Amino acid sequence: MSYIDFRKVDKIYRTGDVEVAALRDVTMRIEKGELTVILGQSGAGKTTLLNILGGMDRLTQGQVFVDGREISQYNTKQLAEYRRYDVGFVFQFYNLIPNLTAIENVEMASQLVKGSFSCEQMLDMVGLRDRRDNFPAQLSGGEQQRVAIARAIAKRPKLLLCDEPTGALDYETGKSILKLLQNLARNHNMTVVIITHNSALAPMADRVVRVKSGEILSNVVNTDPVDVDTIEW
Amino acid sequence: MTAYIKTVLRSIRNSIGRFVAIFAIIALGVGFFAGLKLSMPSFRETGNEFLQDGQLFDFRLVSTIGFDDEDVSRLRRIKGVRSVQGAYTADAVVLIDGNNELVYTVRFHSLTDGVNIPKLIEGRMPQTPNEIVVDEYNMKSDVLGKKIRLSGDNPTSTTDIMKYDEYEVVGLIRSPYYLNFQRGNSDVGSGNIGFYIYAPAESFDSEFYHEVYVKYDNDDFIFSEEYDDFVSLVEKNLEKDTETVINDRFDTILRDTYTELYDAQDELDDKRREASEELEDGLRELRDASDELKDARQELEDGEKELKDARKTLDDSAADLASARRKLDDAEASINSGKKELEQAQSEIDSNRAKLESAKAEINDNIKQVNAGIDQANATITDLQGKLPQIEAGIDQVSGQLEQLYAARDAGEDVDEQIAECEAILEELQGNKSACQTGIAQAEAMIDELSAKIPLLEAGLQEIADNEKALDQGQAEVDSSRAKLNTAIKEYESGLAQYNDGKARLKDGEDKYKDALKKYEDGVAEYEDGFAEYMDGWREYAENKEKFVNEIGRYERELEYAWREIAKVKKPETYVMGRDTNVGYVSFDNDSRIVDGITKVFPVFFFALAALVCSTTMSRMVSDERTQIGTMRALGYSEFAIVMKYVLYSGSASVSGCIAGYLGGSKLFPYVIWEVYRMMYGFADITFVGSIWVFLLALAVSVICSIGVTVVTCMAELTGMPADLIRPKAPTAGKRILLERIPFIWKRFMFLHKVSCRNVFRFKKRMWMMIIGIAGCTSLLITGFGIRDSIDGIVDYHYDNVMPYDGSAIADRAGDKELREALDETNATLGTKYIYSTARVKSVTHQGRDMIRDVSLILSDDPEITKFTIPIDYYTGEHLAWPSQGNIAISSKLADKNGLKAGDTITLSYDDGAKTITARIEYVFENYIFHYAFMSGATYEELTGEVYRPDQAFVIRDDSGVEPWKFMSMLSEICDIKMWTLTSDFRTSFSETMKQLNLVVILVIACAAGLAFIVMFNLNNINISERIREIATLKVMGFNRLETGSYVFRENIILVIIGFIFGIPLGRLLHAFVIAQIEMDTVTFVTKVLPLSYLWSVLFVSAFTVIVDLVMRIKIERIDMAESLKSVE
Repeated sequence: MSYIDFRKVDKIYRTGDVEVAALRDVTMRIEKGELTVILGQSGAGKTTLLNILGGMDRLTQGQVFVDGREISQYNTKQLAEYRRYDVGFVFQFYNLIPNLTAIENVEMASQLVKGSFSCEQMLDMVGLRDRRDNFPAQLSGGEQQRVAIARAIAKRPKLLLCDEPTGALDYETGKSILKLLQNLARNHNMTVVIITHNSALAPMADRVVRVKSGEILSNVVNTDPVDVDTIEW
Repeated sequence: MTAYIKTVLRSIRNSIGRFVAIFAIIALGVGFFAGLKLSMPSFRETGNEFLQDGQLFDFRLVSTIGFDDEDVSRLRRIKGVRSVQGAYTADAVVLIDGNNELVYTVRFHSLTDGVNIPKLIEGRMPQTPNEIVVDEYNMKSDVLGKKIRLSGDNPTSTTDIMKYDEYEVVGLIRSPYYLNFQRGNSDVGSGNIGFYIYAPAESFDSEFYHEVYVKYDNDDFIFSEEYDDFVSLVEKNLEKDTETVINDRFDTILRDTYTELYDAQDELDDKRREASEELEDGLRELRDASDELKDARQELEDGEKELKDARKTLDDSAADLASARRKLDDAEASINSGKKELEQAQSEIDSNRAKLESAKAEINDNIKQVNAGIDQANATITDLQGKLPQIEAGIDQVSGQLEQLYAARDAGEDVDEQIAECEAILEELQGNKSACQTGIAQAEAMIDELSAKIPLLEAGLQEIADNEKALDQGQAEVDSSRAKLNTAIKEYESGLAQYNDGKARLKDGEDKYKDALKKYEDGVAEYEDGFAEYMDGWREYAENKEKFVNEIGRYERELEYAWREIAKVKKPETYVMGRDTNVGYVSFDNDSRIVDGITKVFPVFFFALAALVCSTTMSRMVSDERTQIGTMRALGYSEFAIVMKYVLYSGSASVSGCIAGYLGGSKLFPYVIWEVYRMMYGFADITFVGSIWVFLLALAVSVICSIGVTVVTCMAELTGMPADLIRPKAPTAGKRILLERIPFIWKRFMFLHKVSCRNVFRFKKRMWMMIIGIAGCTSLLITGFGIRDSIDGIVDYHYDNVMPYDGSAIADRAGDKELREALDETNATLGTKYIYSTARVKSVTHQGRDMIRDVSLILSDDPEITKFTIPIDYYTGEHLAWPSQGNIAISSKLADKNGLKAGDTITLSYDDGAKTITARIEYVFENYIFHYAFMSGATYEELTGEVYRPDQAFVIRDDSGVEPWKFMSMLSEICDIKMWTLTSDFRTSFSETMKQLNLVVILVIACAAGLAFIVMFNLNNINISERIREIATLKVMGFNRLETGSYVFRENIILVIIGFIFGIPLGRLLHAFVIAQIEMDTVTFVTKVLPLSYLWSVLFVSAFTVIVDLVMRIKIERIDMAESLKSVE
């Protein structure tokens, strides 16, 4: 069994009498330690996929296994625990707590779990040692996203989910973030899933999943992922 | 503009919570404001209607000589008066039919036309003089139809005035004269008037009216400045007029009185002269009568002597007659005996002659017999002598035979038997021979004897002849005696005739005497009558003389007294008293102000919050719709149009809230507070008063609070360029807070707590709003509960610590000693150890700065009294001694209200203001209910010159389990008790009264709760909606439900705690303020809040917080995690 295993997953939203299938018969596998990029246009269903993978939403039909556990069977409480212990989230708009300094934002996450990484170390890793006592408003977008990443990985998640991590960033900053994510996967054997509409990111991934209209178009393992520095868009 | 209106409507629909929040806070604020603001006008309107309907007097006139009809009609001529009415009043002790136990002290008033018209509540008004209507406040409808009877204990001052002893209750009324519950004091009965009675004027029997009520032709609003102006305008003149009228009458009376006195003096002199003359005449008559009596007496004495002589003559005659009678009787007796003797002598002679004849015959017989005997004896002798030879022959023959036989017997022959036979024959023959011989002898003797008798007989014959001769002689003597007797008889008969004549003569004399005697006796009787009459005449004379002396003396004294009195008469006093002397009217004025006082604080508070709520809500709304605003501006909408949208939004919420609040509040608050007032007033149902000004003011404030705030907020937002507006607003920057500068504390905080702490201060406006809201809510609750503490506790505190006696009894006649003895006896009888003290409680009044107060002056010389009414220093709480000689002590409220303190002097008046006591205040003592003053009996005597007589006993129960009422009933059996009261009754009735105030407490709590909910819901709502993204992120990060909720609500908890920190002291202040505002005159509230009330207030607020949390948690639950993924708008 793969580390992440989607089996015939359907997700249907009901609005009154209208049924909209966000995901249809999705079967997908991702292995541990892989950097996966899920590609798709707006409305292709990639966010739904992320929601389900991140334990934020339930599916309508099918099964989802993460590290051998069927999260599709989890109740609300179990899902919360799953998110707490197993998943790290990186948001497009960073979603830092504005009232907390950089280090505090990381601490907030690390306090949720036992055996978390040292927050100082995390900030070191994302290269923000000097900005640790700054409030988010005092940080640039890239810096905020670095804090967000530090926050996400501080609790040693099994899975790092990133939703358009570069979406709100300029080119250079975006690149440095992607580099950070790639390093995490490579150096720390972290399973990273990046959701993006930017197909330019595909070459850097270990696996590329293409989504369209709620269906998986392709699920390809990239045998030779390139370094982020070499990617251009 | 349809699209424009649509956006507005949609905004409302989409954020109904926000709309409701503005609506509610405005409604609450306006309701509170309008309600409190309109309470006083409503009360006053209610009072005004009642008093105008009842035409409450403008002035009450009293004079020391009363008023008569002439005075009243003169007063009626005063310009501008509508009604001037003389009235009677009398205090009485009455019993109600069917209940002989309960005695009431009441005040009778006469019904007056056009002034002080009582409002009929039930039944009908009196139609006959013995029908009455009574106080509806104190009596229930079951009294209708019952008889009210004057008790026997009424003083003559009452019974003289009241025409009847019994009156029938026909109706229940409320008099405008008695606006509140106080009925005043009286000298009669218990001293406290239980209820009032209105009766037709004809029920009273008084020469003068006791008072006159004046109602001017003026309908100015009660307590209004116009009215006060009017009063001061007319008062002076009225005083002058009243004085003139009364002085005129007084002069007339005085003149009349003088005339009367002079007349009386003349009359007295005349009478004295007349009477003396009459007495002298009487004396003269008596003397004449005395002379006459003396003459009569002489005459009678003469008559008596004559009578005595006549008597003597008569008696002599009678004696003569009696001796004549005796002689006659003797003569008669000798005649009769002579006759008898004669007849005896005759019959003796006759019998002797007969005897002689028979003796002669007898002798002759005897001679014949003797001769016959001699012949017979001679015959016998011849016979016997013939037989004797034969017998001798036989004897010889038998003697021969016997010899033969002897011989034969000797021969042996058996001849014995023949012998015996021959012997017997022989013997017999011998006997015969002797007998013959004797017989012959005897006959011979006989012849001898008889022969002797013959001479004797012949002598006898001789004797008889002699006797016959003597008899003849006797016969001659008898015949001569008879002749003599016949002569004597003739003599006797003539004497008898003479006697009878004398007797007839005597009888005549006797009759004549009797007549004379009778005449004499009549004369005596007549004399005696005359004498008695004469004596009566003297007695009568003496009596009349005494009467004359006494009566004249009395009249002289009376007249003298009258002269002295009239010389002493002072000019009469008149009093003109306005409504400000009417307790009910003044109390109502004061009490209706109370609520107005509160309006100074509360509404400001609510409006401040309303402004804050609007501001935060609207700025949130504007922020939310930032992009939309930018778009609209970019599309070319004017700033005005954009602002109008929000103005319309908040304006519609606030205006509708204002209307709803005004309508609800202006009814609810006056109604509830009036219900509380009802226990003191309750003379009518409330008349709600609306005020367009209050409404406009409320509206203006609401509009400023909502629209003003909205405009300001919008303008702040709109200053940016459209481009800026379209971009998301930078989130509020995080900041370090002061607390972080104290690492000592900060480091100990848990991480999430740090976040909350920092969040609290992130939104300053909301923080303050929350703090003010919570603090306000807390302080309101503390005030609410505190009002209850202040009021509830008083009764118990007062009766536990200040006046701890369990009962008191007023003796009817008993003095101190008797009362004490009775109390001891009661203790002995019941086996109790009740302690007691004696005193006198005098009802006095004090003319204070602001009003007249009834004060109970406790007089006592008993050192024990301080155990029963404890003098505790008002300022130091120290227990003090009873005021020393010449000093007085007064209760705290009396001192506070008049600015009096120890060392000042106070003047108390009594007997309707006729007498006063002025004394130096030694100290001010703690007291909560009513007004009291303490003084020693000796001081009272010294200051008033009146005698101090303790007649009231205070008792404190023991632990024997004998209830005070039992003790009191026993005491009243032992001693004559006028009335007794139990403290527990006061306690109960006061507590009942105070319970009404719980309504206010509930009202306050409800308002506080409303406030707390509106503020907290609104704030949390804003808080959460503003932080949806943050919360969603937390959720995504794996915060569980509890953690997410706590993350938000921890801030609430911190704010609530801060709110408490501000709210508790604020509550204390507010409570003190409210207590000062709602103060009543007869009750002193303690400005204290019990710890429990703080606890309750905190718990209530906490409970509100928890409720809000629970509701808000649901909202948090509903937040979709996907929100975290959305782009920032």
